[in-house]
Amino acid sequence: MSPILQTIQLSKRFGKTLVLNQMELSVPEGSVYGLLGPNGAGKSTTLQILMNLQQPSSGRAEIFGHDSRRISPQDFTRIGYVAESQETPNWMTVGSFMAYLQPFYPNWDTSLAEQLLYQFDLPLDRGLRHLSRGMGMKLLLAASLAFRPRLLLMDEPFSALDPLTRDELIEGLLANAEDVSILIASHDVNEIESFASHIGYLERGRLQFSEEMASLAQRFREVEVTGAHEFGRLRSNLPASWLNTEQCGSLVRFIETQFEQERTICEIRRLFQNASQIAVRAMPLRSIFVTLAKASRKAA
Amino acid sequence: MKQALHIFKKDVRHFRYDIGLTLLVVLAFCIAGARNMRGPGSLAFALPVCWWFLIARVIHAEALPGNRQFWLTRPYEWKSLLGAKILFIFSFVNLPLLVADAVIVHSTGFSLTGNTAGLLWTQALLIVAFVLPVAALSAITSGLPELLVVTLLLIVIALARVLTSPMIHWGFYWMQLEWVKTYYLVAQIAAAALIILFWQYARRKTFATRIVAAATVFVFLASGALLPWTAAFALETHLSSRNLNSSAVQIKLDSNRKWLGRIYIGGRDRVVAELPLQISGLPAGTQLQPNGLTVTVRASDGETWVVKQPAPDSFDFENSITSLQAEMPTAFYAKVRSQPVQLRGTLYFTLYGGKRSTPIPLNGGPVSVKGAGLCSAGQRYVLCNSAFRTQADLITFRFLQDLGGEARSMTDGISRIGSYSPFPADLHIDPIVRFFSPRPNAISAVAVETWEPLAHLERDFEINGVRLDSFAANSALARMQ
Repeated sequence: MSPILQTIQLSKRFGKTLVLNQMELSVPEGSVYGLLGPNGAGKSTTLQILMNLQQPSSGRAEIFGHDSRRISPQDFTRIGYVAESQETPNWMTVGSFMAYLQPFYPNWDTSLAEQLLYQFDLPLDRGLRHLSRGMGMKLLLAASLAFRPRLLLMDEPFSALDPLTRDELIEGLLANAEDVSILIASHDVNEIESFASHIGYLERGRLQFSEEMASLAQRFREVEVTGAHEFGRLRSNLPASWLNTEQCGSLVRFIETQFEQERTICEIRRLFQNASQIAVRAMPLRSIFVTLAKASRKAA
Repeated sequence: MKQALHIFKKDVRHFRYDIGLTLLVVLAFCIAGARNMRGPGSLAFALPVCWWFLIARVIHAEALPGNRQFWLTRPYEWKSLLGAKILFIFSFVNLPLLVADAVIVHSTGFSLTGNTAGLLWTQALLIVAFVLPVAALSAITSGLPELLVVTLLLIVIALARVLTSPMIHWGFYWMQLEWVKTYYLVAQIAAAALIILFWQYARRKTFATRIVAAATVFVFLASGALLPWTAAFALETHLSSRNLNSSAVQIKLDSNRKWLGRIYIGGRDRVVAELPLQISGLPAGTQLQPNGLTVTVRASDGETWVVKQPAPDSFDFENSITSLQAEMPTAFYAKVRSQPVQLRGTLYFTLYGGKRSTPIPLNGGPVSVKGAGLCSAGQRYVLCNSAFRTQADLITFRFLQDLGGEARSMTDGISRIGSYSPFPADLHIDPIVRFFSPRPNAISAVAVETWEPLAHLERDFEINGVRLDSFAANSALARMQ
């Protein structure tokens, strides 16, 4: 799949702080890409550079093949942007806000807009200044889906929302964005685990990895090896793909990051010849990220 | 265009109360200007405040600095956005003032067709001198509090510039030539404002445009050095195409009126030598108005002190005497006062001619006086109104007073000098320029005398062997010494 957006050697510096460090990101068309990372990792900055709200210090970002610094109003008719920090014209009502936006978009779907407002339970006559945080996010999502965008960028859309509102938002997103490529920046893996097709992990301004969810789930396994008797001291030349290796008497536990059934079992048997039992468990996404974060910090 | 109209309609809906308030102030300004002899008064100050507020509010509705505004990620065309703001400002700042000016000018008795140029020029000045700078400052600030701080800071800088401007370097106010400095400063500010607006709307380069704004302030502060008064006078000389033979004009010390001279303390460590200069050889039917003077006082050992003096005062029109006011350090005066010094300099002056005298009916309606506007003589005042600008002519009221059967002709003693500006309007809000004089008792006739400026000239002079202490005889300084 060709990328709908990408960053090439993208760096961003605020004073002496390097927020993005030669970041290489590629989001395939049609994907739901979850850009994960802890607070301050550079996720919001990445999205802001893509939307030309910030200028890169070096490198570049591209959307639809265009440099993000040259992003045009025509491009914006096909891009939705939802961010928790966005300031809306608070003097407007929900209805007048949607009515105001409509003429900007040639593809605005009035019936879809009405349906979204109904689905999100947003009263037309409610002033924007009186909307709760969750309602505000719903409104921004409705205003970004109503023109049937080709690309939707969402910056921490679910943070600090109650579970019910979050589920409503996700349901609304999934039901109305079938053909939309989506990039969601979030610090909470649970928020996007259920629907992301691709995942990238950003830490300290660098993209640690980026791949399809299926392949990620496939290659990460928690492995527990039990010996017939106590293992000796662990060798120093264990495979690089094994992370967080721990030993306790006759039990060794580690995370295999390149799991292949036959090869991994052979490797274990070669290194632990008195192994009596090998237990391999699939990992939830959250555990994968905790593992990666720990490994990354250890390496740093 | 469609998008610009869409944004414009949104702004009108959003700022309907602000618009209403501004239009009310314009209406009050219009009524006061049309009915009140003294003009709109404080409303002329209230209007710019309303405009400042309205322009700032409409620009900040889609603020340009920052990265959180919703509109930044929506398909706004920058030309449409800027167009919408221009349309708004034109509709609720320019157009109401245009109508109000037309009403005031018409109700004062001027014809609208004869003052179309003034009407339009006032709008042009409003745009370049007020709308553009306020819009540009609004475009580089994110909200009203920030803009208010910047505006107050700029007002303080401008006041400091005025207050610290030393009078001996031509002074801050250039009188008839003030228009050159005004247009020079306004052109700089308007050019910077245009750059800021277009750059900011097209590219949103807030940091760079703030640098442009700061640089403009520095240029403003240095403008005194960048535009010397003599350059302004040279421009005026160039613009006055009248060919007048003034080769016979001579300047010398008026030794017959030495008693007019005096020496006095002019401030801390400063002494002022005020010396009478006699100007002779004026072409027939003309009179002279001095505009400026430069003098170098040279001591016998070669030490010099340079004096630059704005329009010399104490001028006696009938005898063509002007006053050289040489302010010098006390130490320099103490050294040269009892020795002969050389005065070498240049007098910059305007020759007026084509004297006209227009009688004004007592207690009658206004009469059109060429070079003065519409003049009338009421019970208590004699009043002249001109539309959009002060006149370039010298204007004096002459009264014929009847004192017990003996008629006496006298003037009100004021020679009103307007602006030499070639443009049809001056930079002020009230479209009517009013000047009046109290009407003396027992007058039987009033006339307005006008003298037309014919040429702007400069003449060098050299006066040798002047002993400054010979002018100190009757002065306080001499008594102290």
